[in-house]
Amino acid sequence: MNSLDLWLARSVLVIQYAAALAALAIPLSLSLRVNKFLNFHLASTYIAGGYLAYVGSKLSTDVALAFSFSVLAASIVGGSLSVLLLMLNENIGIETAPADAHLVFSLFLFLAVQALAVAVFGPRTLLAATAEQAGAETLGVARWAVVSFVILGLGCLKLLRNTLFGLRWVAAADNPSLAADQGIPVTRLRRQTAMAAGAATAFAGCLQAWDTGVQPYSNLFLNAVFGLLAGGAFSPLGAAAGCLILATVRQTSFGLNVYRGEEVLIALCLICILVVRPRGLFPTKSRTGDLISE
Amino acid sequence: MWRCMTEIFALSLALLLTSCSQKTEGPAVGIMEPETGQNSVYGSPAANGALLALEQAKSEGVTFSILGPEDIAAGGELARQAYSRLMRYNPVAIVGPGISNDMLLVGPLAQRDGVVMIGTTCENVKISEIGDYVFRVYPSYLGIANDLAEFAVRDRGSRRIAIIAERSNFGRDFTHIFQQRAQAIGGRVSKIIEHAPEENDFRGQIIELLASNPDSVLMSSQVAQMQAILRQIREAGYTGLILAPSSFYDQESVSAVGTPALGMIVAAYAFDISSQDPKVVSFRDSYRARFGAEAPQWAAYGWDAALPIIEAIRSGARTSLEIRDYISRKPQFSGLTGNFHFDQNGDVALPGRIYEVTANLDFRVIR
Repeated sequence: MNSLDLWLARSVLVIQYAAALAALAIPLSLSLRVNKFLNFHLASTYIAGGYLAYVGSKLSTDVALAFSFSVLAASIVGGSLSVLLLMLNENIGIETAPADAHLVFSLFLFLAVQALAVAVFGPRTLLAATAEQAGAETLGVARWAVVSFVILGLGCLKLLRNTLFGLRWVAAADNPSLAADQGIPVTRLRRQTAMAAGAATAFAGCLQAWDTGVQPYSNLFLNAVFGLLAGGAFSPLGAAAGCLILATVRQTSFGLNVYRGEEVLIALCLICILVVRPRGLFPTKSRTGDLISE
Repeated sequence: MWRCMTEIFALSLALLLTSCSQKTEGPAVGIMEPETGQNSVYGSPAANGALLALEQAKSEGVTFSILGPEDIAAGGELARQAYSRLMRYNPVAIVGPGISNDMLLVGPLAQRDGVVMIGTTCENVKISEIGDYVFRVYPSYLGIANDLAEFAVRDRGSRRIAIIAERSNFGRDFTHIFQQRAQAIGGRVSKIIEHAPEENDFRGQIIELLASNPDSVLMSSQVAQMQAILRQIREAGYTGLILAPSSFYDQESVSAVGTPALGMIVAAYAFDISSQDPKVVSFRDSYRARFGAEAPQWAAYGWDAALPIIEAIRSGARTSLEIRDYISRKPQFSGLTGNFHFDQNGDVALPGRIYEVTANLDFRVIR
């Protein structure tokens, strides 16, 4: 490979991996902004999306049909699951004990998804190999679908800032009690965000499974959280930028071949960023003035 | 008083019944293999092969009990637990495990407890050092790694070899042996990249590997990972020589990959499960009749691991010590993989061969 080919190949891989991370980090950021807690449920909806891709690949030998079914099913199941868990959290007083209740539910959901998958498919499918089942060469489109999905999502978020829904969402996120006083349905907005985030992660998990297979114990979710922190936890655009930086660091680490280079370099990079900019590289602007006039 | 005596009697009866239910007929022989999880590709057939050998021996009148097969799944702590479950019944010998890391974990326990343990498909060089109760019917990967290095450098004239290896004992050791041999005969390892054992997306590592412009690429990972690497490296446009260790010498594994496997070179020991040797044909038929599937080559190693134990019991050995002495001293066993005997380290020696994957996705001997 000449140096131009190499550079291009590296860039493509960095963009694809960054998109895979951002597909997790952006919903996490949305959820954090509105619900004020890091929604670890999304790790489970991501994995659930992967397993639904596997179900799709088993249901039909027609790749297009199986692919369409699984992405649709993943979005519906992921969104519903996320709202259901948010409602359960609300009912047990998430406002007063967010960390404990949330972690218990997250762990429960993660184990339930794994147990269900083992019960249905048997232990061999823990390494879901959907792409391998369907023939990898037909599914190169899946990784580009992740990239398109992230770019589209970011575009939608940018557009939302100029719509009434977007302004209400920002108001509910920044000061829920003030927003409620002004007649904004904060609870409904929170649930809508949870639904969108759950659907997005399950969709991403499904696409990832169609590409290389989902590995429940890989570093993907951890790296997505790191990307979120590096970019700016409350800003979806910042989270995407953070993921791009970490994807670049990861690719560089392969060339160095240091022992556990990927983990070490990503952690060092995150520490350096947080030392210099504790709120991340691209934090949201602080909002102390009139929310509506913004 | 009467109540107390009744309770003691009931307790004694319960204990007696429990011990009766665990009573075994003659010496007990256990089987432990990964029958589920990603290593089941070796473990499940090896366990079946061993079970078939033991069941046939029993039907021929050899008196012993069969324990298991115990599934050690992902290995590690599960292997230790499976070993403990077998040890409740005081086995004189255990067939398996076939995964090197598991053998390195439970082999020392068998040595401590004085139980004969015969590994099926484990190939780590360190297994030879465990002790005199531990044997294996699959040779260590020392010969395979040397054969691959010699083939790449001498036969194909490779001068820049890149290696992608699993971050594990196997990955490291195999890479080290290959590198030493390749460099000793004029080859050069241009790049080594490790990956995590649970990884399935290697595109990032592959690009860095190809940046060193290799004329050969060696994979030293588990089969599931090597299958993914093979697909992804061909997808990245690499058309050069690809080398794989003996774990890839399996028709099913190659068929699952398809066209990216064409031309791949695999070094393995000279045993062919599709051979027309009457013993192998009879084994294939029995296996098909008993398990309803074609016998993979790993099943033959399960059979061969059970064989020395059966012969020892048939000759009158009843304790672990007697079985160990019989196995160590017998000059030759006539197994499915050929005639073999164990050296002072409990290892066997089988001749190695180099295979190429043909257009029909089967293996052709080229060296």
